[in-house]
Amino acid sequence: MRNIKLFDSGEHKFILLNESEPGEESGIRSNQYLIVHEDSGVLLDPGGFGVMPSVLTELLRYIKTEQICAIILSHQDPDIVGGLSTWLELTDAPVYVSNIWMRFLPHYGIASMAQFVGVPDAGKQCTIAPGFQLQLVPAHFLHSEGQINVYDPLAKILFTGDIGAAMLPVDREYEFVDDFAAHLPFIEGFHRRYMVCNKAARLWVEAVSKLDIEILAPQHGPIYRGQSVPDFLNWFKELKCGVDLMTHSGHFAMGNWNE
Amino acid sequence: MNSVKDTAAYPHHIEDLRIRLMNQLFSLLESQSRTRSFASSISTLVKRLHGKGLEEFERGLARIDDPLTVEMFRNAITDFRNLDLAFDKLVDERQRQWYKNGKYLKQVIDELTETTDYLASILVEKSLLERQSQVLENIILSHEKVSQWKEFVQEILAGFHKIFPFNFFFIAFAEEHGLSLYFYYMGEYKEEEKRQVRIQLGQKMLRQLNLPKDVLLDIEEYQIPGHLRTADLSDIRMLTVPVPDHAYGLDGLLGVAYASVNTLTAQERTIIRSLLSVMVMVVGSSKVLSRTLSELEYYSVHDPLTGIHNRRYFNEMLEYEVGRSSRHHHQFAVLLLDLDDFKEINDTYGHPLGDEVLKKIAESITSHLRKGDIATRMGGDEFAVILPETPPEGAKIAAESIRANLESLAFKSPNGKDFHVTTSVGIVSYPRDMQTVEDLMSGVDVALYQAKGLGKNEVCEFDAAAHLKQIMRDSRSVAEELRRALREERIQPYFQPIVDCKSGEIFAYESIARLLETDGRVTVAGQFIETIEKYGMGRELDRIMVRKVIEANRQIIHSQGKPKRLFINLSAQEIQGRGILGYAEELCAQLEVPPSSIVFEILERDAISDITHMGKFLTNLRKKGFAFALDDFGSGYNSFHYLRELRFEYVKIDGAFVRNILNSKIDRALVHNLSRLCQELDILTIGEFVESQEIFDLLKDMGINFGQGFHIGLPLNTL
Repeated sequence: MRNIKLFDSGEHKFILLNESEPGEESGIRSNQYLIVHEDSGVLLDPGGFGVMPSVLTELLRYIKTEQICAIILSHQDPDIVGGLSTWLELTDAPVYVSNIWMRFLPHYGIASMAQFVGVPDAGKQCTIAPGFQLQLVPAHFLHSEGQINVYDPLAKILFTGDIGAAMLPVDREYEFVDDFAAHLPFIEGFHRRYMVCNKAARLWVEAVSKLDIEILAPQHGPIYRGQSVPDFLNWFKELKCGVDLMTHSGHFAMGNWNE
Repeated sequence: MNSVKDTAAYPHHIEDLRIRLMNQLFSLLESQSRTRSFASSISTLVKRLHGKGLEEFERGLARIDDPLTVEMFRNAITDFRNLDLAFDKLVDERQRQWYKNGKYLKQVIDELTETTDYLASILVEKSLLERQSQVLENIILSHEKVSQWKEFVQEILAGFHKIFPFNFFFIAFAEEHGLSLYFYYMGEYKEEEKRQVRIQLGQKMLRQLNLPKDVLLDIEEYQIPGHLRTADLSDIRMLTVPVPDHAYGLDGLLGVAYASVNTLTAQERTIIRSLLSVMVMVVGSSKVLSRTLSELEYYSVHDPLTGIHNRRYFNEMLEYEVGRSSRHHHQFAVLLLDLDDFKEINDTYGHPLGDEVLKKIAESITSHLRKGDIATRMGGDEFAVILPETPPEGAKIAAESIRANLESLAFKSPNGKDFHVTTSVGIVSYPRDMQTVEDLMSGVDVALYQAKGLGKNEVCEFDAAAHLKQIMRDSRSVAEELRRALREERIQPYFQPIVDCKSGEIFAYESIARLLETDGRVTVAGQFIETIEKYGMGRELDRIMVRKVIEANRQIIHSQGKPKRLFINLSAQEIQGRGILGYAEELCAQLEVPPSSIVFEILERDAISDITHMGKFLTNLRKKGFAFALDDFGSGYNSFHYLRELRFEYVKIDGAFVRNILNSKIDRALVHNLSRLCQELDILTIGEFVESQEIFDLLKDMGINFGQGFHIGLPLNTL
């Protein structure tokens, strides 16, 4: 599946560039997004080493490499940052990442930190180009301690990183979540085990509920739109997960969701 | 690169190439970034250990007393320091190279994207072109199809759909009281879906054609069996081709649109657009031609002025009557009427009044006939009547009654005076006088001639005894005389100029055969060509003409340095014989006349009769450099397919149409459509019978390329 325009007003677009096939990355399927505003592009979570060629091949359909104005990393995981050093060969654009992960990045083979911009815990407003602003929204401990989300007010799309991520079985594939109840089995286990605690979830839901959101775009799996957006937020807000479920060291009360 | 391309914008092979090359470039990038990071840790390590070593040397030096050893160590330290500097230079240089390589790679990646964009825009897949021709091959314009144009359009769409599947097709026409939209649904759709299509796509088409959306709409819907079904009609792509300026001759056609849920590549879009343009042509032309055709059908057997039947119909009916009467042993008669001194009426009172008189005379003749008798106007002031199942006596009574009635008919001149018109009538009876169509016609001619000789306003029967021998002798002696003329090569090409309608300059000459009589008179082709063909002498005539024309061009090259373009007529016989190929080629080689200066004219009816062989024949000759013109185009109806099969460089539009374009709407539409058709097929057009400046100007406006006729230049015996 390639190139789904989630939003397109002509001058402003929000595109799912490349949902990498599991074969390309011998891990989990991940989504890479490109936001284009006139001649400026912002790449969200460029992906691991293996997916870079196909991501860039798709990206070049919309903009040139020199028009990449920013790269935003939702967190520090290898499926997000793995290919970064090669991206830095191509672009001088700033790379946004949580302050608390800055010091770990050199371990991905990154020689110079000159291009990196740390994002404070409370998030920040980014002006990419005139008329093109993105809001970096904190999403700590969901699952990463320093996760950030990206809100695009023109497209009304919130990029949620690992929140909302689904693990679809290999034989199932759909691009959008239109029936939340049917989708639930594919997210529940992951969220219970990987999200740190209900408090983090609840605070996040309360914060993002103030935004005008039409689409939730996670880093893995199908995209939430329409009724599935509030359905997901309501479910997540009440979810007991992570430390909430810890009974004693190494044991979780996962119910049916033991992996 | 601002514009966003669709996912399927690239054809597959270019997309594959792009991805493959991108992957290779990334491998380069990745290996560069890995090497760089590896090299930088190594150099950091080297620098650190090196510095540490030097320090220890310096410290050790303080403990050595031997001045010679101190000197040696000092030299070694200096060398190491220099090595250090060289190493820094190496590291700097490598950094610089890496930076440059990175920059180049980046450029290559961007340029690769631009190149694939460019390739995708110019390369057309062979299979796509093949699909295009499949669609085009299905579009065969024929008399029957054009007259049923609505069914014809559906048939074409079904063929189009098989090769480029689509969901809907739309055609918009401007009508007197608003707009007509034709909706074609490929396959079955629910009423609700159709409603959605009507509202959304109909409006979209109006928008794309720049038409007001609140206009009065008349919708016609057609369902064409097809297989393409879709769940989501909201994501329909529409390609619209508008008709630029309500082009003349397309009968109000405003545009067509193609709507499909399938994603199309840029190339497919281009090809489909070109097919849509052909559809515009076909639909518009078919619609206008179907109307013209029904008028033409009427006028093919009727005389436009008087409304009675014409010569063609007469010929057909005479032939029919001969066959029928011979089977049933009936008698019948033919009357031939020629008005006496009618030319004077035209000259004195003018043509309009003359025409009125002709109309009244036609009425008068028909009013005195029985049902089943056939009255026809043969042309000018000549009328003919077939009286089936009529013995000679009855024929004579009928002829006399027609003559007497005409004599009593009074006409008013513009100055209020009465005047009368009389007629001479010849009669021939079957089977008493003659038994074949040709003989009957010659016989009735003789009888009419005799009636005139008797002092006009007379009825005269054919007198076999007096004339039969004379007729036979005449016809045979003409053939004999022609044979002799050919043997003695008393055939002279005359050259009539063909001019470029735009520049007015002479473009070529048509060579026309004339016969030099022994007494020095010159006879034009029209007077002997029929006998030539009838007695099988066409091939000889063509050979003489081909040779003399090529020789004439030799002379021109000699005197003026370069050849002129000369058209030569080929007869049906010569085309069957095909011997002309070797002959013309040999002559050209021998006389050093370039074949490209020769254009052969072939009559439409001859070309049609043997299309397969004709195709090969033309191809062979074309390889030699000769070009071809299709003569008298329009006298029958053809098809795109047919014109494609037999590629002609030129088409000569039948003079019978050209001559009338100022007065006849039908002929004007016909010539204009033929011109458009030829333009579309990249064939140059020549209008014959250009008899006035007005005709010439109108031809030029219609886009006809060249003109020929008395107004432009008479045939002359020199070039």
